[in-house]
Amino acid sequence: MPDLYATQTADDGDDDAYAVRPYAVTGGRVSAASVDLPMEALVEASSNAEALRGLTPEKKKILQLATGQYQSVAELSAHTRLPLGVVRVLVTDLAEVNYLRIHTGGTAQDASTHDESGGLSLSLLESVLDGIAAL
Amino acid sequence: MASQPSDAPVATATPPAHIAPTVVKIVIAGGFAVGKTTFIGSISDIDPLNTEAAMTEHSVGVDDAGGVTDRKTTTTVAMDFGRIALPGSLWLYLFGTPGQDRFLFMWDDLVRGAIGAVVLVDTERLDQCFPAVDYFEGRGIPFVVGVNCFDGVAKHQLEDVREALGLGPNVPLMYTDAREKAATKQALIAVVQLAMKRIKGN
Repeated sequence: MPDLYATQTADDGDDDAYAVRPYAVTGGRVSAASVDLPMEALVEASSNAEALRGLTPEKKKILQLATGQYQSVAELSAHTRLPLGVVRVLVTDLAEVNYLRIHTGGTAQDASTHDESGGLSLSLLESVLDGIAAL
Repeated sequence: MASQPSDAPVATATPPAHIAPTVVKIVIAGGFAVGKTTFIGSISDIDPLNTEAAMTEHSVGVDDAGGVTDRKTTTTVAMDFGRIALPGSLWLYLFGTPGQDRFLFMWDDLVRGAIGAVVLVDTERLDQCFPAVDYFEGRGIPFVVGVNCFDGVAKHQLEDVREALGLGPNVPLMYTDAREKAATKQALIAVVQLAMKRIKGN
C-alpha cells in the first residue's frame, strides 16, 4: 500500500501549515476507537515522547500542546484548528504507541464517579454543585 | 486492532506522577445567536474556544472500501466551549451546541455523559428553542430553561413562557442574563440540582 503520509513526513518545521484536506491527515480513516473518544477526554503527552521524528506536523503539534498540561480533545481541536473527528483519530493513533495518555476518568466506566448503571454518581454531582456554588 | 510494526518507535509507558482531573460537562443549547457563547464566557476560566466538526452528509452506510461513489457534501459545524476548574481536581466543560436545527444529529456526541443542559431562550424568537427542548425531553436528559434578558429587562412572565414552550411543571425555568456570571452560576446550579434530584428519585 502506498504511504499516504509520504509527502507530509518530511520535517520542514512548519507546524502551522495545513495545506492538506482534513481527512488526508488521518489517511482517510475513522476508527471505531476514535469515534468513542469523548471530546472532553483529557490528553497528556508522555514524558518521554521526545522521538518526534517521522511524525506528521499535526501529531507533533498535538504532542506539544499536551506536554506538561492536560488538554481535552476539544481543546486540541480548537488549538490545532483541525476538526474534532481528525483530532480523535490522531490522538487514538498516538495513544496506541504510548506517545500520549488518554484520561477518561469522570467519563464512562469509572466506578469512583459513576454508579453501577453508568450514570454520574451522586457524590460527584455534589462536588460539582459545591464547586459551582463557591465560584 | 492492527498490531504495531516491530520497528516502530514506542515510548515506554511511565506511571503518571499525578492524577488527571475528573471531567464533567454541561451542554448549553438554544437557537442561533441566543447568547450561548456569552453565557459560557461569563464563567469560563478560559476564553471560549471554538472547535469544528467536519460533517459529511449522506455518509451513513458508506464502507471503508469506498464502494459508493456518490458525491458527498462536506460542511463544518462550529461549537464553542469553555472550561472551569472546580475544587477537588474537577474540570467542568461547558459545550455550546451548534446553533442550527439541521445539526441536531451531532448532539448525541455532545450530550454523551453530560450532567444535563441549559436551554437558553430569547422570548422574541421562542420557536428557535423548540428543537432543543424536544431533544432533551425526548432523551430524558435533565435540562433547565433560562430566559435570556438581553437588555436586563424581563419582557414576559415566566409562566407564559412555560405555556408557550409546553414545558412540564418539573422543568426548572428561570430568568438569566448570559453576560452575568452570577446568573450563569444559578442556571448551572439548577441543572446539577435537577440531575441530583433525578438520581435520588430513582
